[in-house]
Amino acid sequence: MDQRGLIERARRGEHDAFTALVDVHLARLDAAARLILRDPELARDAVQEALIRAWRDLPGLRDPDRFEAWLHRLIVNACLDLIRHRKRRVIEVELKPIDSPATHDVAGRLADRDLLDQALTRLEPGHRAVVALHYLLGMPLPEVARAMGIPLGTAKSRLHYALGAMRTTVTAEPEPVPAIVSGGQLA
Amino acid sequence: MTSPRRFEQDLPALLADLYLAGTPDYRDDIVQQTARVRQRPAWTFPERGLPMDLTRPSVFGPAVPWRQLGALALIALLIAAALAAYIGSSQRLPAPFGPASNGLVALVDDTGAIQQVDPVTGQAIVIVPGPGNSRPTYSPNGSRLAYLRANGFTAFDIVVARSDGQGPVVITPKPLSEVVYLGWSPDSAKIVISVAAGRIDVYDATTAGPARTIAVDGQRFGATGFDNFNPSIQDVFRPPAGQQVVFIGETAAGPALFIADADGSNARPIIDRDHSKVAYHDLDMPQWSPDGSRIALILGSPDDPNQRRVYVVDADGSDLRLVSHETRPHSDNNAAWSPDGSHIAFQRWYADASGGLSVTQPITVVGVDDGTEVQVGIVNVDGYLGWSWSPDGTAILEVAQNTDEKRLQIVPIDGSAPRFVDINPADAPSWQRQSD
Repeated sequence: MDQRGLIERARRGEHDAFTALVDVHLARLDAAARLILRDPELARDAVQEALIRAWRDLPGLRDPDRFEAWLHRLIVNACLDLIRHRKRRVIEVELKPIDSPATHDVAGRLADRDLLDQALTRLEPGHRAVVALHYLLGMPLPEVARAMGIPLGTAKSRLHYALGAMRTTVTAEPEPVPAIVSGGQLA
Repeated sequence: MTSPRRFEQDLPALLADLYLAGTPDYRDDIVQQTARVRQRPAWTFPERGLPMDLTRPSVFGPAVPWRQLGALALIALLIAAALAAYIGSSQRLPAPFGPASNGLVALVDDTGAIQQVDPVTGQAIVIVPGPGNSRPTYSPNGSRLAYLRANGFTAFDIVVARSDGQGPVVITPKPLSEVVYLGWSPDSAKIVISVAAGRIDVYDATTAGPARTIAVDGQRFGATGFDNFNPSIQDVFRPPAGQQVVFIGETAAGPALFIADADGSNARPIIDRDHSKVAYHDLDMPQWSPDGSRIALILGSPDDPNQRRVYVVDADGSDLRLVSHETRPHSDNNAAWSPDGSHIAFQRWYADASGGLSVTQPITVVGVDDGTEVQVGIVNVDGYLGWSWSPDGTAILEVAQNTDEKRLQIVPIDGSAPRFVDINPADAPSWQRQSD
């Protein structure tokens, strides 16, 4: 059954249909939450909150074609709510090993991943949310603005700022790595 | 290394590499949890209209004399209002700033009810039944209580009542989808909120009516930096008259501290990257001193934005100075002035073995002029759900973030033993100011 059919059935209270929708979207919601929150446990809480709301309020969704955008809005709001609730507690992301097959450019990609992760850590959650929606979930900027309840200009300026900050970090010259000499001492 | 030109093109793939990790292991838990939740019936959504059985006229029972009942109710309301005005005028109110006597503490419990707690006896009573209430915040003169009340699953009304919870009035003409900061104007006549769009809205605190939006351009001036962590701190309007607002905005050089007139006009940066004698990555949480002469704020280090320090600057942007001289890597947040303006309290994390700033410290109190620093109270391992100064400036009122430690903690700053009230707040508490 196509997604629209699943949404219609879930709106009528068929939980199996909702479960099928969860299976389609869960990995991406989890990824977006981890990007924004930088903490896998908090991300799990945010995804749980977003999906409970989605199931509970699904009968109120008038246009099934808006389901995906609506779901993305729920996850972003759940993430930002959690951040506000946590009140500035410093949180860090857990990096998982790469599952993709090895290529000739593995070292470069690993370096990029680490740099990109550093760059994301330095962004404000609101900026990370714009990055997550636009680049990870593939939403056009007007949709991002609508999902986050911010003016399009603000979404653009946040994205511009975030890209600039990330680009600066990712393309910066690497700092010289101290050589390790015998005995484990740094040269 | 990815070249600058290719960076944007590569970003989706890089992010997918970094974050897309297959179906999470909690999938089954979530499916089970949602299965236990009842769906909200479609007819309860406002845009779907009312069901026909609610709109049909009743055919049973005698006709009710609505007009006469309405007139009686109006007379009763007028008498009650006159009585309330008389009683109110006979009470002496504290000045909105500076030290005051300690009144009662309002908090939301885990059922969503608002309770009023006597911090001396520990006696608590429900003044607003739950569920669905949050963010109780006393007015600066202690006479009224503002709070958010859930309207449906995703929206809020702002309610203002007398300090005992009686006479609630919904002041927002339509529900709000989000409230970042909720506070009062210095004269206790207005409710100030900030919303996700970066606006500051001001509502009349007595009647329902449209908000006056302080015109800060969403693109140029983000109007961020507000935080509802210390709900009793008046951190938008400049004391004592409220003639200016402070907020975090953006200049071409990056984030900056702005001052504007109270209507949002004449906005100008008083700290920006081009002119600041202190280099910074970002700024956060500006707080006016009680006399309005200075502003406390947090600056993130340009070398490591996770390292954050409390600074004080004069209200004209001059004399930006560090208040704590701690040299170990740390992150200080949520600075709050003592009622007499002599000290600033904040929360601090030190670096752990991995370099992450996650070792929670007790609340730190520092002398603004001499830099003397003391830690007060006990360690709450996950930090705080909220805390604020007592109105008389002798204690810090804390609520821990961690569920196992949740209770009202009243921690004297002179080092004497803390007092605890075994009640489980779900939100930051607010301590009422009273006249001497």
